[in-house]
Parts: sequence; structure tokens; C-alpha cells
Amino acid sequence: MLGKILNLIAPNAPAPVGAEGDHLNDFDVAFIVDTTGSMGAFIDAARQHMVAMLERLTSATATLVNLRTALVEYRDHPPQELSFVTREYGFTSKLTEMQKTIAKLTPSGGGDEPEAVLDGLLSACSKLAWRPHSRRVAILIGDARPHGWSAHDEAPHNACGETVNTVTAAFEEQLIVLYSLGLTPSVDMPFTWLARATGGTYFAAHRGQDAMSALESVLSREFADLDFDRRVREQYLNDPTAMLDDRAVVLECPPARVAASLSRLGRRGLLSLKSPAPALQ
Amino acid sequence: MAARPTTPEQDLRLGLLNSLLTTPHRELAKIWPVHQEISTKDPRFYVRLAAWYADHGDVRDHKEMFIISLVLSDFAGHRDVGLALLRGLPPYEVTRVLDFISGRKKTRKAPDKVKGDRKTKAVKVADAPAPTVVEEFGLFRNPPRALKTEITRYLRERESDPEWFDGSVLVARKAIKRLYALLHVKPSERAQKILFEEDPPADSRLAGLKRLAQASSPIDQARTILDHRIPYRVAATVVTKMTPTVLLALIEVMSPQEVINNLAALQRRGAMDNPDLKALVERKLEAAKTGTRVSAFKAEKAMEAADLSADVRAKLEQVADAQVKAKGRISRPTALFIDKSGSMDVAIDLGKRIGAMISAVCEKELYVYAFDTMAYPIERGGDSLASWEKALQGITAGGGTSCGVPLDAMTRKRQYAEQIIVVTDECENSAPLFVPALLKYREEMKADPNVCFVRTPQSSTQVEEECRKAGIACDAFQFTGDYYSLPNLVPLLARPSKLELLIEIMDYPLPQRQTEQRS
Repeated sequence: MLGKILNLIAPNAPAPVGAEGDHLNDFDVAFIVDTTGSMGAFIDAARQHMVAMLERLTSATATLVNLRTALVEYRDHPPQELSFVTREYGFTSKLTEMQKTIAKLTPSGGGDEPEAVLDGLLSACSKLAWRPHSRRVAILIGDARPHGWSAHDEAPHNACGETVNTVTAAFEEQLIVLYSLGLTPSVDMPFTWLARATGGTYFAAHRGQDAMSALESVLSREFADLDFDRRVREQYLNDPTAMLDDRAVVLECPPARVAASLSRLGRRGLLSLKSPAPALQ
Repeated sequence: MAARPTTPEQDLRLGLLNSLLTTPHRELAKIWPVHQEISTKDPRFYVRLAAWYADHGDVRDHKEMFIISLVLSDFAGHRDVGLALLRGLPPYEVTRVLDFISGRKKTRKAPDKVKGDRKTKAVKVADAPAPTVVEEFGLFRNPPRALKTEITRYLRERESDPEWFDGSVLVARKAIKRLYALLHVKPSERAQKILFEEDPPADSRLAGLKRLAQASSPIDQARTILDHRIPYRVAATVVTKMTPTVLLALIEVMSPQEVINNLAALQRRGAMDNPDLKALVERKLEAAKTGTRVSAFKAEKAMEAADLSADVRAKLEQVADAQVKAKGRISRPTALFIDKSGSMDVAIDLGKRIGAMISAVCEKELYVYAFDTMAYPIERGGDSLASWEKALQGITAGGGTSCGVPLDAMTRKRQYAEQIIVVTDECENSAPLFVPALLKYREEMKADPNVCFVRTPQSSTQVEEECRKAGIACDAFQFTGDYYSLPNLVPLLARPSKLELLIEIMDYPLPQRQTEQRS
């Protein structure tokens, strides 16, 4: 609560564009992957294509992306699964390290159909060291629904005590946008819910070959947003008092897109304020 | 006025009305199924809605589609109302109605399949004819005989009034010719000369247009424009050099709406750089504020399309504001809640726009809160978007979503509202939840406010469903990213409830079909 108040009263001042400490290109992405037995095909594809795809995307974008990747694997609670519930591999800026991490993933176990999806998400949220001003994106990849799934049921799941609501609230608090990638129709509903509630999108990739292209589409869109955010921020710093519609005319794009960009920049603390924020009553 | 629980019939009609108000415009084929659904599910409501929309609606495509649906409907009384409404349309819209029913094929050049390989393709197909695609538009049905009769009367009515006929031909020559040709209507002698023999009577406005094309001096051109009231978009096709004198004459004969529609072109032609012309434009914009045939949509659209100077933009904004105000007044204490949680990227901007819009028409208290898991009271801005930008400065997306938290704040502060507008994606994930907080508010404040959700793109309907489960009536407005649909909210909010709007529509008088020409 206090943090929120302080954030409103004294928002983070931005560093000048291009200067040391300019966090605009900081991009943290965490992959949250179900590694139970049924995920073998996706993990094989990820081993072969994931890092190459990331290299291709970061080199293709007009902005030099300061990318860090992390991975959280999840399985299930005992007694369904005795190996582990979640396992985290912290953020790294080296794609070779990510490649090694992916190579180590072994699909195994899982027991019953629902898995510890909420635990995986919560681990990504609370155990990974996200950078303060980075664009924070999490990508959930799985083929089984979370334990205790219900969009409206507030009863927590016995094993982890979490619900879809508590997890999505934690993501919103941490300013992490969750995209989800469902490999079977059974996860369409819960994964859509999880993504939507954090401002992200759900992608159905029911055919194996769709998964990597869906991932590529999410990330290329995010990187394109990064480019656009740079333009918006430059325009904002040049003329902080301009109206949104005027900015849209200058940037030659729809006002809603500029509004979304300003919102992204604002939540990352990359916009300065000309006048004090309204006082809390 | 308290919200009353709705009956299933009312729910159906509210749903239908909502789907109409929130359907994207500009593509007739896309709105045809929506109209068909409404017309089939509730034909009695549909015909009243068509009559009401013809007088109060803003979107031209819907007005045309109502007529198409009614004219093709088998339900008793529908066809006569459709034909009565048709008589009020300008010729180009009558042609669009007829074209949609009878269907039209359009041939255009096929797009290149591979981009970036143009050279290779050009060599390969150098000798071959350019590939084309045929696009089909419309229903490809035979127009009903009654429609043919009505359009014939429509044309005869204009033929009998030379001034009216000439004015129609000046702006819609092609459309009128098409009506005669498609329906095999024999034109009157005068119409024949004007439309098909290119030999207009010397005293007609069409002859004036010919003289304008031949005139060489700006003075002669201006005089001809003024004498014959030649519209801008027609004159622009025959006058090669737009001197300030000619522009002055053209702006003089323009209606305020025409000035708004052509602002970008006037700007390009340097009208805003000439003090006299600019003053005249501003005078027309001033008149647009009170004009009954000026659209708030168009004024906003003009602001987006044209690279206009700040003062002209401000003037246009005033026109849009004045036209929004003319759509109704909100005479109940109102609360506006803006979801600023982490998942919301467009809600804050949307909230500003709705705030500015309703602030202009709200005569009673307006309480504004941004919220995540906390409620942030916002000082009511003025009528302008700028004041709302300022009011919401420093509010950025972040935090969980608790739609009940601003209601709790209002309960604590004893703020009484009869209407609540919530801009949200309805993905509520933190307590206090909306429904329990509203029940508590109702009990403690002895109030029963209407609730209207303005859903952002990709939102859920979770909170609405919870409301319905608890027996709370609520309306929803789906925002799809088109800011120009926002003024549609005002008529909904200006009435005691959407139910009242339904009652007004159901009581709306139906137009009578005229069997004879109008005198």
C-alpha cells in the first residue's frame, strides 16, 4: 500500500533516451513450461528452435533489445508427482545459457490430468528477479488445466492454496503480462482467463507445429511495441503537455495505440510528470 | 430513479439494441446479419427501432440497412414503413439500398501475391492481361415491385420540382442516372435532357456548372458559384485553379457540415493561411455548434484526418462537444469508475474521453474514481479532454482488479449516485468484489443505481454475469477501439434507464407511406 502511494506521489524519473540507465529496451521474458510426460513434443521443438528463434527476432528488430530470459518448469503436487512441483532457472542475458537450460528439460511424470499451473505462475512472479523498469512478459506453455480451475470459484486449491484470481492479481501487481499457449483444447478456457486477466492473449496451438510460430508471433509483436514505445517516449519528452490526439497525428497512428503505449511506458516508470499527481483523499 | 429488474422480453430487446449500438460501421455486408437477427427475433420492436433510428441515429449504414431489412421483410407493416423511410434518403443512399438488394459485381486488379519480387513478376506477365478479381456486394435478389414503385415516385417527385431535381443531380448525378437505368424508369423530358443528353436548360444550375467550367477569370467563377450555389466537391472537379476569390465563394455556399467534411481539402488549398477565408471557415464552424444536421462523429473524424492548426482543431472540438451535448442531458448524480489495473492499457484513455464527454452533459454530481485494489478519487475535469488529461495525470496501469473498491469508497463518503459507469475488462480478481459492494451500497445509501459497463477490447463478461445472478440489472457497451462510437453512450446515459429508452422506442410513431407525390 505504502509503495503504491509513494509511486503515485514520486514516480520514477526517466533517464534521457539513449543514455546510460535508459531502461526502455530492457525486456524480461519468462517461459513457464509444463514438463510432464505429455509435453515431450513441445520440448523437443523448443530444444531445436527456441533459441534460434529468439536470436532471429532480436536481430531483426530495429531496436537493440536488452533481452533476458528465464524459465520455470512445473509438474504436479505429490502424491501425483514426486520429483518436484516447480523448478526455476533465473534470468540470464546469454541465450547460450538458455539453450543449455532447455536442453536439460526432461518430460516426465504428471499423474492425473490437472497440473500445478498456478504454482508455476506464482514461482515466476515471486521467485524470479525481474528488473525494475523492464517490460515484463511471461509465456505459459502447457497442455493441462490448473488444479481447482474455475473462473468464478473462490475456493482455493488444497495443495497450493492459490486460485486463478490470486495468481492473476499477483501478476497485475508485479506488472507482468502473461501470454498463454495451449497445446490442447482442454486448456482453452483456463489459459484464456489467465492471459486476459493480466492484459495478455491466449494462443491455441493444438497442432504441434503451431506452438513455435505462436511464440514467435507473441515476441515479434512485443519487440515491435518496444520500437513504437521508443518513438512515443521521444515524442513525449519533446512535448510532455501535448494532447493524446495530437501525438497520434504526429506519430501517424490511431490514438488508441498511442494510449496503450503511454500506458506501458507509464507502468514501467519511464514517463516523467510535469505537475504533481493528484493528492490522495 | 431506481433500476428495475427486466423481463426476458426486455432483456432480449436490450441485447438487440446494444448489438446495434456497438456494431462497427462502414460495411453493409457485416451489419446485414445483425439486422436480420433483430428483425426476426422481435419484428415489432425492430420496426419502431428503425423509425426511431432514422430520426436519432448517426450511422448512415444502419439507416440504409433498416430500410433494406424492412423492404424485404414479410412481416405485416414492415414494407410500408421501410418505403416511407426510403423517401427521406438522399439519392446516393437510395442507390446503395437498391444496389445492396439487387447485388453488384465490381472488377478490380488482383493484388500481387508476392511482395518484394515485383521485377520478376513484371517480366513474367508482361504480355499477359493484368489479373483481376471480381468482388460481389449485396444480396443478388429481385427488388420488390413496391420498391420500384416507390423509387419511381421518388424520382417523379424531384422531377416536378426543377430546383430540387437540379440540386440532387449536381451532387449525385451518377446515382440518379443509375436509378433510372436499373429500374427502367422513363425520365421526364427535362430529366432526359439533363441526365442523358447533356443539354441542360439555360436557366438551370446544371447549365451554371457548364458556365463555371468555361469561365476563365476568378471573378466570373466566383459569381457563377454564388449564383448557382455550386457545391465545393462539384466545383473542385471543373475549376483547375482555386484562387482565394473562388474559395471564398465556395465556402460561402457550403453548409457547416460541408465545411467540416472538407476541412482537410480547404487546408491543403491554403484556405487557413488567408485571414478572410479562415474567418469565414470559423464562422461556419461556429454555426455548426447549433446546426441540427451536424454530426459529432464527423467533427471528431475531421480532427483525426486533417493536419489542422491548433485553433481550428479547438474549434472542431467545440463543435463535437456542442453536438454531443445536443444528444441529451444527464440529470442524475453519476459515478464513473475507471479500471487502472495491470491488465488495462486503454481504459485510462477511454475513461478520460468518457469523462470529458459526460462532464459536458451531466447537470448533477459526477464522482470519478480510478481503481485497482485501491480507489483513487479523481477531481472532476471540465468539458475538455485536456482538463481530463490533467485530472488523470499520474494514473498509470498497475495493480490487481477490485471493481468493488470505488463503491466502498463512495459508501464511506456517503456519495449518492443513481447511475454508475464502469470502464473495465471485467476480469475482477481481488476483494471487495463489485456485486457485494453494490448490494452494501444500495442498502446503506438507500439507492439503487443503474450500472453500465463499458467493456474494453478483449474483456470478459464476468461481473455482468455476477450482477445478473444477483438480480441486478446492468447495461453493457462494448468499446471496440472506435472512439467515434462513444457519443452513442450519451442517449443511453441521458435517459433514466435503458429501459426508458426501450419504452421510448416502442412508443415511437411509425412514418406513413405516401402514395402520392409530396406537394
